[in-house]
Amino acid sequence: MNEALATTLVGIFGITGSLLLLGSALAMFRVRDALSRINVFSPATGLGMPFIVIAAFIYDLYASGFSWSSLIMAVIAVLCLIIVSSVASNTLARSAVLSGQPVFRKTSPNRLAAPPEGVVDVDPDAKDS
Amino acid sequence: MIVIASICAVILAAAIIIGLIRVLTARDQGSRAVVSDLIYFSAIAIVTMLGITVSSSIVLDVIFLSSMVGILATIALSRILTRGHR
Amino acid sequence: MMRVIHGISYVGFIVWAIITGSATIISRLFRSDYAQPMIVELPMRCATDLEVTLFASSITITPGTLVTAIAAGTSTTPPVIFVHALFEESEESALAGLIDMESRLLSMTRGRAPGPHTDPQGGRP
Repeated sequence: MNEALATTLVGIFGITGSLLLLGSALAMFRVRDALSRINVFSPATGLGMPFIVIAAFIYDLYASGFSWSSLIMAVIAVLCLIIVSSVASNTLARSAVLSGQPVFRKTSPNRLAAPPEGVVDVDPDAKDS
Repeated sequence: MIVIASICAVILAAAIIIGLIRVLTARDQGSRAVVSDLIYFSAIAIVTMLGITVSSSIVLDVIFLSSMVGILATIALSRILTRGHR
Repeated sequence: MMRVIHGISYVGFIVWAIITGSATIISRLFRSDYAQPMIVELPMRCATDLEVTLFASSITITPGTLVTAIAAGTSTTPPVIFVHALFEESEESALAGLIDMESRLLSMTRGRAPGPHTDPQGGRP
């Protein structure tokens, strides 16, 4: 692999991945609550960071030649980023709901706000006089 | 190659600065938690670009290990948000 | 053998959903009406723990949708998933997208297409 091709590929993947991270950071200003911010963060870990990994792999290919260990390392890194960021977003969203973070008031319909049909919501902490 | 890596590092630094402004103007704790996640991944990418700049041979090792342990900070923050409950 | 074919097509479907969802999030940055958040409720056809986990992870990794809570199923009611969606026009289109993804996932894990969804509204009026 000659240097011009390596530079071009690293540039395409690296700059695209960096712009996806920057776009996620900008999108956090356009939404109003914590749940939406967790939601618009997924392009950064789902597509931006894999592009950075691919750029690093192409650089490794250019600098030290092909080896199976590098390929396996890159594939595992991409899989880990996708799976790990998904589980982490699930956990963070669940704890944001459980800890009572404010939800944007124009969220409609909000199926978490009311109990389902036919369920009587008894408050165990209510003072029974 | 150095020019490309520098451009990427500048873009990622802009993302981190925008995230810090978001932390300053946020009103709830959940937004600050997710911005910390963004800053973590941007820092990993900056370290990768630094490795490309200085022609290091452990670029892939850095991004491999840090992508595997990246879940720990987020889970610790979510435990802090719920004050220890699962 | 059918599971392998369905699995490959499911992975392709997820990758395509990630790419188009990211393009949606980035391209809507310059519009005045950025998003319409909603939280919808879907009773799942997934039965085992593996299917529920795979379904929740697939929903969350797709940009624009996020799992906020999962209610465990009982002997009479199925498990229910609560999904936060940003860019859908209405509740029906959000539920249709989720049911389509669930059908593909169940085709992968069970090797055949699942039955139709009985109650997509979850008993809500």
